[in-house]
Amino acid sequence: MKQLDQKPKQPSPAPVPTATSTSDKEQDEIQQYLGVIQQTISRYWIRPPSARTGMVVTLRINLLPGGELNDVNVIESSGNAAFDRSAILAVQKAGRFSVPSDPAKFDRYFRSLRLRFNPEDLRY
Amino acid sequence: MLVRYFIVGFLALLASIARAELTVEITKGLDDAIPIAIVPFGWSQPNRLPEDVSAIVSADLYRSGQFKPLDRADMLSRPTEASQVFYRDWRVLKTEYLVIGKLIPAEAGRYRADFEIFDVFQQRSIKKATVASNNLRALAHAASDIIYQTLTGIRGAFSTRMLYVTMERMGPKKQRYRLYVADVDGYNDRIILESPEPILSPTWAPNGRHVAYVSFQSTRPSIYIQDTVTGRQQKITGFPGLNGAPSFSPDGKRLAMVLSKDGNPEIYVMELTSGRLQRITNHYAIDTEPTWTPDGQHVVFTSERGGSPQIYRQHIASGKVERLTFDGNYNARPALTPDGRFLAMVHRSNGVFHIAVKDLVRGTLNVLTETDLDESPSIAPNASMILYATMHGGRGVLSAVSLDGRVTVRLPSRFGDVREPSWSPFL
Repeated sequence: MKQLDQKPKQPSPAPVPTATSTSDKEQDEIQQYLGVIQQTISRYWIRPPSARTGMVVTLRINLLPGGELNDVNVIESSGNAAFDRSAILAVQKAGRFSVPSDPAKFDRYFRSLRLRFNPEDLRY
Repeated sequence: MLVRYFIVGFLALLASIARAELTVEITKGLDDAIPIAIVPFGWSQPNRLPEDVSAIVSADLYRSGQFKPLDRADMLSRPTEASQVFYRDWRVLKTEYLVIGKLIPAEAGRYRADFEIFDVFQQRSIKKATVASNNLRALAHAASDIIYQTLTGIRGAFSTRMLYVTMERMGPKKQRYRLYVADVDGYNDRIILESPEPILSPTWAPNGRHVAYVSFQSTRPSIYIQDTVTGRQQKITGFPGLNGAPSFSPDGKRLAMVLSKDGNPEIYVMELTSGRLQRITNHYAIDTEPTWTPDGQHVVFTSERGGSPQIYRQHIASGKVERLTFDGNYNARPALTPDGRFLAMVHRSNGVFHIAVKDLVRGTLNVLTETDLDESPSIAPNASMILYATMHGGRGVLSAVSLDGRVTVRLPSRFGDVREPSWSPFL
């Protein structure tokens, strides 16, 4: 998580080019963006009192270039309508997400994302 | 060559499909209340209504700790029907849910409210409902119940009642004890028993109509059952020594209690139709404060048999006993949630008495309150809140804390000392 706290696109010392370094660097960059998206959604996610550890809802979000939310759908429900709605609301309230400006990277990784809401900080 | 190209291309395609759907795990969230707006309900008659229904609904939802109702003065519009709703007005205020409605006069002096709940961000109606009553407060609580259930997935308990005892000093060595029934928001309070002698341990029967308590109105403490509708009182016990801590079985047919007629305080169970008494515990240490497991098969009680007050569970048929609490050297006054999972209690840590909850599935203990001298926890029938008595400004007041400890609210209270609240079942 520490790594994910950093701002994306921070200049890092240019590594010696090797056969795999480009894709490793790309992976790191993607991971950082994903970390920021994760934190953004966490800041908007208010769980209903019926939420319990072990409940999981999976959503698919489609983003527009620039990171604006296009649509959100439930792909696997938790079985608790209030819990599912709280996840959808978190995404809709966030509304916009930080994504790479490079259209190729955006298309490849960020146009469509799965979000798995799986609370680990609930009391019960 | 062609085959090889094909395989490479296929692998690249596979990789791109696998990458195309990255998954983000969201494992943390906020512990905030949900922003909601309850717009004043429409009323087209010339007379003024005696109660402000949407204000009562807002207060109910606020008191649950799960909602943060929008201040009326901040509303940009006040729609009373769906065609007047502009989602943008509510979105800019960060309101997640919107409730609008209309009050309509119904037959025989009754009122009806037609209301609708909207999801502001998804821009759609999620529930339409109608409630009716001759009492506007009751109508408002019924609307709150529907809103709460729709938005949280948990049945609302706003239409329930509570019992509590007040003690007022009338002069030197002269007190007045009163037993009240009130709505859980503190309104509609009504005295059902008044006495210069102490009234203790009031508790509800599962039918939500009868109550049991200990009164010193005759020469010695006795257990009584009273019908809250007719006021009729029936004496159940009057044994020599202690007659205390009555608790109805989940089916309402039996009453657990503490009697010291055979020596020291022990738990007994009385069959209410026959009056037949069964002794449950037999120990030289004090056994007291019985309550029932939801299946009616066990009695949960406080005992000093281990050297300090701790909570135990005893199977009635077999007599098998199990200790439930191990944290610290004082755990007493057990109360179980209706699903039997959570055990509320008075827990002492560092010499201070708090309300705590033990999750009997995971075995963890959570201290919920930060005040001192917290006592008599009583759980809401939907297990969302725990009502308890505490000290504030040198006198007893009632407070409620959510089961997760997130919110504490003090209830409007009367003069004098308020003690021993008991939350009714669903009515």
